[in-house]
Amino acid sequence: MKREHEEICGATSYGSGSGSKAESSTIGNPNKGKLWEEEQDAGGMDELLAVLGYKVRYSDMADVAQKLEQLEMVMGTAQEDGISHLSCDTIHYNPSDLSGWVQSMLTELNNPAAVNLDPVLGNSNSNSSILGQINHDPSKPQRQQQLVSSNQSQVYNDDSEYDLRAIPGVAANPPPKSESDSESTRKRMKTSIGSSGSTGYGSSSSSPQGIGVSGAVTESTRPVVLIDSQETGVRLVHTLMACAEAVQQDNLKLADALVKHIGLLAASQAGAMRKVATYFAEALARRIYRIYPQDSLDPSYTDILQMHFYETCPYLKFAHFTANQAILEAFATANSVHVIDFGLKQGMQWPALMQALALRPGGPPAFRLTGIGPPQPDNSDALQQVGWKLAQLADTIGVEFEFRGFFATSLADLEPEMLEIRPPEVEAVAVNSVFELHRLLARPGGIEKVLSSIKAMKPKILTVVEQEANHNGPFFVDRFTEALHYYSSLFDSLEGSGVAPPSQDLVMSELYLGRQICNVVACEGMDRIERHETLTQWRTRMETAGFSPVHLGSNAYKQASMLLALFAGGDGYRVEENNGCLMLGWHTRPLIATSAWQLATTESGK
Amino acid sequence: MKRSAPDYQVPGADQKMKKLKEEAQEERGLMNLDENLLYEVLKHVDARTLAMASCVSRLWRQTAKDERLWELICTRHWANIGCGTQQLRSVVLPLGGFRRLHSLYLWPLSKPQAASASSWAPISRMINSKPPARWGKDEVHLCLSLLSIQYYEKMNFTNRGK
Repeated sequence: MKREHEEICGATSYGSGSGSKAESSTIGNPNKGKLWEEEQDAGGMDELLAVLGYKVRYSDMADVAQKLEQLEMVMGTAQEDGISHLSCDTIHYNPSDLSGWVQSMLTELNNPAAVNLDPVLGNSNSNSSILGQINHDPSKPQRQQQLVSSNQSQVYNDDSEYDLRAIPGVAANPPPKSESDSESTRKRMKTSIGSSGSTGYGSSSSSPQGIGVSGAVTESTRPVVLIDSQETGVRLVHTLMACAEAVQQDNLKLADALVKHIGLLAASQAGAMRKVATYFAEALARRIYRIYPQDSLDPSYTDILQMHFYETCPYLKFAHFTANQAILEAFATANSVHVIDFGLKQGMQWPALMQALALRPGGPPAFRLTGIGPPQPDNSDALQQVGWKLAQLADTIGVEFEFRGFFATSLADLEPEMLEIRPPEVEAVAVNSVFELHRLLARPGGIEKVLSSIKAMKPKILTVVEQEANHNGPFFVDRFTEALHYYSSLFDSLEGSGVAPPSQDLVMSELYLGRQICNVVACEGMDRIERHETLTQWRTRMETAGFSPVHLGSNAYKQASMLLALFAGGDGYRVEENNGCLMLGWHTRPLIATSAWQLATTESGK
Repeated sequence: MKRSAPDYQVPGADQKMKKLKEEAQEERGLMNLDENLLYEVLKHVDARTLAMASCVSRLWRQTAKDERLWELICTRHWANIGCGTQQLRSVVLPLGGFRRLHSLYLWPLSKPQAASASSWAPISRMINSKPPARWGKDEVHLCLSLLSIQYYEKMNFTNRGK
């Protein structure tokens, strides 16, 4: 009941609190410069409160919060006239010293001697002039109270029932004084708060200053946790990790509590971090509540998402260009070529290859394309439509073209005989897989079967493009951490791509990545198909299966670099060469890798 | 058999008279180059001048748009990519033409900021605002690929929902 009262208090005072805060910040602006200087000199003062004109040391923060809490408790429970003397009679000597005047308020409460309120503007420092201006206002006492209670509401309305002790490694989190006591009170609190807490979060998280103060306070035995906004990002990451840990340990209640906390913290962030955190929080929630996403979505929808992803950032273009370069080199002398594409989608890779073949010295070879795709729910022949478009293009540029489409739920269902492979003397075969092989790792034996099928096709070259990350470890927390870092980099690169924020392309690209995140985090077993592995892991796998690497040439590297220069906008993208494979990354983090392979026992070399 | 005899009394005679008058007017001033002569002159200019020329008048625009001129602009300074002229034409023209190839891909690639953004930068001249002298093999291949992708994307995407 007390909690409810606090919420109401917070809710009503929020409006006025923010009003006065806004006022104080506008009044304070001319002095802000001086304020900042002094704050920096003073050292150890909380910056956000300093903007408002309060000087509170970091070290005192917990103490001040506790005092405010006590004050608020009294105010909440006392009769109206019981505390009116606080508004008139208490002397505040240094209004910017929040700790000091709360203390004086408290001593007044305990010791209700009538003292004349004399708004002495204490020190000569200009900090006080901000509050001085406010204090001179006839309605000053009201405002002070409102300020106090709004501060308090900030302290209280934040997720206070969550057990933040579980978050590892956060320096601001003091150890709780009495564990058993807190736990029992917490449990009581949790059941009573229910959904009303969320409205409180809404108000405090949308506060103008965006201060992410979280207090876990009821009795004095409960730990008080305070942070300032700069640490919110760190706090966010730690909360995500803690939630993942809780999920791994099957402590779902704790995980549930933490997930909500993540949502709150994410709201105080901006840009890429907020989006990543939101997607991860959603995925964790799905895992906790076992609401698994439907994977049987319309494949054309995923195609559309991938198209937007193709437009927004250079990853797919890089993949296509580098793979095509390897294929072109392998096809240098062939008169008849056959490409098997494990994931045809919209066929965006092939126009460039056809064009390059058309301009080959001596003329183009006969080009045959076999495209493989997932079965369509509405029985429409999407593959055939793509094939038809490619045929039109081929006709335009004068390349002899043949197309076949195959629907397969999984690549492991394919048999080489189905694909009408012609002998290598007649036709050179290339197999191309862009972000397809990792799905096979969900099914035991899947990848081995596919690799042996590929060998049976006797390809001149096999091009593989995969995400450069290990999202297939045995432990959930490790996968989670890896994924968090990986997708943070990806989202960062999307932000830096120079596309205007409300663009549809950007939103759809984020959605495309979000679905991957959901799969990595929320799904298990056969459903978890986004089982990314690193280049090193793939290398081992390919070499064990009987393939030997083909080095990508320097022209592939050059074309990739130029592509980035033309399209990337941001300078964060980097092309790296890694033992004959090319990797595209954002700043120092490689994100996708292209590699090329041939059968290990080739008689004629290339 | 000359048809421009002014005394010729046929229904189209009035129109003929008008045309002759217009031509006479055009012959005044600097615009006295006829199409063929203009074409010959434009064969020798650089890309920037050619583009500016197309802004002068309708006749100039008509002439400056000629694919053969832009083909010269493109191929004059690019590395030999091994294919014949006819082969190149048969690919580039249907995919959008040389003018498009140049303005969309070759020109942006040759701009200083594009060159400096990539780490290896063989094209690194920054002399005034002149474009660099050459496009290497890789640049050419890249641009041709991008042209083909653009053409493909513009084809009717019946399968792509909005």
